[in-house]
Amino acid sequence: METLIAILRVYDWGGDRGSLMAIDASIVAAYGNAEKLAEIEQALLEVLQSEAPIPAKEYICRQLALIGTDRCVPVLAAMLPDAELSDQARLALEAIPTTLADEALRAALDKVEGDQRAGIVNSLDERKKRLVTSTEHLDANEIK
Amino acid sequence: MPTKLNKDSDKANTITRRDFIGRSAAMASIFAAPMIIPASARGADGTVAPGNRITIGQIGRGIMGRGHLSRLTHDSEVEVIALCDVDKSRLDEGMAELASAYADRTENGTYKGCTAYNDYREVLARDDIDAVVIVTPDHWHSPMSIHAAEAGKDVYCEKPISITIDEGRQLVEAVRRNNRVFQNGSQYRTHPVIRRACDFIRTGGLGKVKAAFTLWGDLGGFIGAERFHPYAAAINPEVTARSFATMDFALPGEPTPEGLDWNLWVGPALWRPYNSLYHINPWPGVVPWSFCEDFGAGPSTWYHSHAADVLHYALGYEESGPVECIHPGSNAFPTLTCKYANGELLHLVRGWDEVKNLYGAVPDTAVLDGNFGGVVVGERGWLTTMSGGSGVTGGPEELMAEYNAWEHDVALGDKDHHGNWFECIRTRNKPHSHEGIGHRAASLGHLTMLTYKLGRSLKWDPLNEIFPEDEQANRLLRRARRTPWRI
Repeated sequence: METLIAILRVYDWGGDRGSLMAIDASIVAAYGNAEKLAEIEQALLEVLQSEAPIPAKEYICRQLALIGTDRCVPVLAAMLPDAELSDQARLALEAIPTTLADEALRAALDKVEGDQRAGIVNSLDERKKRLVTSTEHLDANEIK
Repeated sequence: MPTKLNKDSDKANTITRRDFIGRSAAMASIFAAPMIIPASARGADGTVAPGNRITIGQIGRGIMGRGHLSRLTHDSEVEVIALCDVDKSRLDEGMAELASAYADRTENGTYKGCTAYNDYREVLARDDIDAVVIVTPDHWHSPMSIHAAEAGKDVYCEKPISITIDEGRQLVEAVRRNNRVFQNGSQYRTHPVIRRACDFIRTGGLGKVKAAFTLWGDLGGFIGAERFHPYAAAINPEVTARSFATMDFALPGEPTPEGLDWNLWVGPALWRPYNSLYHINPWPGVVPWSFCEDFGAGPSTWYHSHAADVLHYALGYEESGPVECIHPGSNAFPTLTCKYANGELLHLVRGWDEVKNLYGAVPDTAVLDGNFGGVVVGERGWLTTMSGGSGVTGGPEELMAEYNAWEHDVALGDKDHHGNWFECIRTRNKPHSHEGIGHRAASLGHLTMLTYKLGRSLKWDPLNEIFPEDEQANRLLRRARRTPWRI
């Protein structure tokens, strides 16, 4: 994993996406193994808090959308005011189904303005929509 | 607020196209039966009065958009009065095509002209537009369709109509909430020969269906093209070509062509700097963006979305889906397989030869050479639902003797998917591939992609559209949008 993380640290626009497929595979292989997943999450968080290029951080946020836990929420929340990384942080936070992720998004509303704030509102709205029962079966014959 | 009046008769005594569509939409929520419209009003005899033409805004004028524009401008039932594209060069080309196609109407004073737009929201804001045709990169399909439905427009949208299952579901709800007529651009579904083949299967012609087969492939066939060669360092096709799912490539930024609004092109997707691989696929290539997970749906865009709703039609699962997607790593089947509630299996193969070689499902002599459909195998025999190639084929002979009463050749020009949509706009009936069908067809592609991406079999609840007790897979039902976009 160390070698892979070293590659990830310098992954930039034009970087070799194929070289990251071993990380993808590690995540797939770790399914159901909480200890292994926590290890991967921690390694990704270290790069996320470094000076790594935006594509590296974006790649990490995509993986955290899949495996992120409350452990990564504070790190992602700290990225929300950043115009260059706010969307990537929401990509992960919007997907993490925990109360702490909700709270982090709500708390950021007091700190963030402009487009980033609109994005956070949208993420909170999307999370709320998931609680609404689908109307498909009631409406299925409406146009006939 | 622009209002079109019927110039051919007394306004007080005439129901205009706009009045009619508006009233029909309102009545559709009261009456369940379709309304009967005289053929002349439907334009069947080519006598549609200008004021009764369906007014259309087309959003997107790339290579596929050119085909749609040609179809629309050669139809007496409709009139294109708005054209939108974020690429000014394509927009200018489209406007020139429109001017040429409508030269006669312009000369005789029955056409008031078309307005060019960069931003689709300006098209949706017009009150004099009845319907929109959406021919954009995939990541715009659901957001634009939802916004169009909310603006009161009927919608024809290219397939796949979503890039996540959740946005497809939201599209269905928006279309139904607003009583809109939606057509998924799966044209072969309207082909009479394909429909007959599907009906034959669906009504028991094959006996109980045991299995069906359709195509799915890796990225190699697409990213192996010459235009990708200069970007080999980022794409690394030696490795990524083996992926059965789209990927998040970080292609290097290039100068944005003059006249292209790249910010709006990217829209709700995560930001990517401009790169021509996303934007340009020289003729006859289409869907240049489709390999990138932010903009497209890979194999679903290329062919699976053409086949999925046809197979669901044949199998009777048009507004449902599989209950399980079985990964080949489980060794249950040699290729990824979707299992349906009544036990039918849909095997995804890389080529038709695998139907014989891996599954032994049809005789070696079977002719399987079409596309955009599949092979269905039942207790009594097998039948294809493909377009192109040898058309509909099947066996054994006694079964085909029964089927021989039906047509075989799938002449591509016989389909009139747009015509079906126009008729439904007037009658407020459901088109052949309405929103629910389009959503489930796209969903089948997404389920397949997620199964490959996660590398394991997935249980699926097609009623509630969730992965039961699989929190990780459920996270991939949706994806956050770039600020400030929302649906």
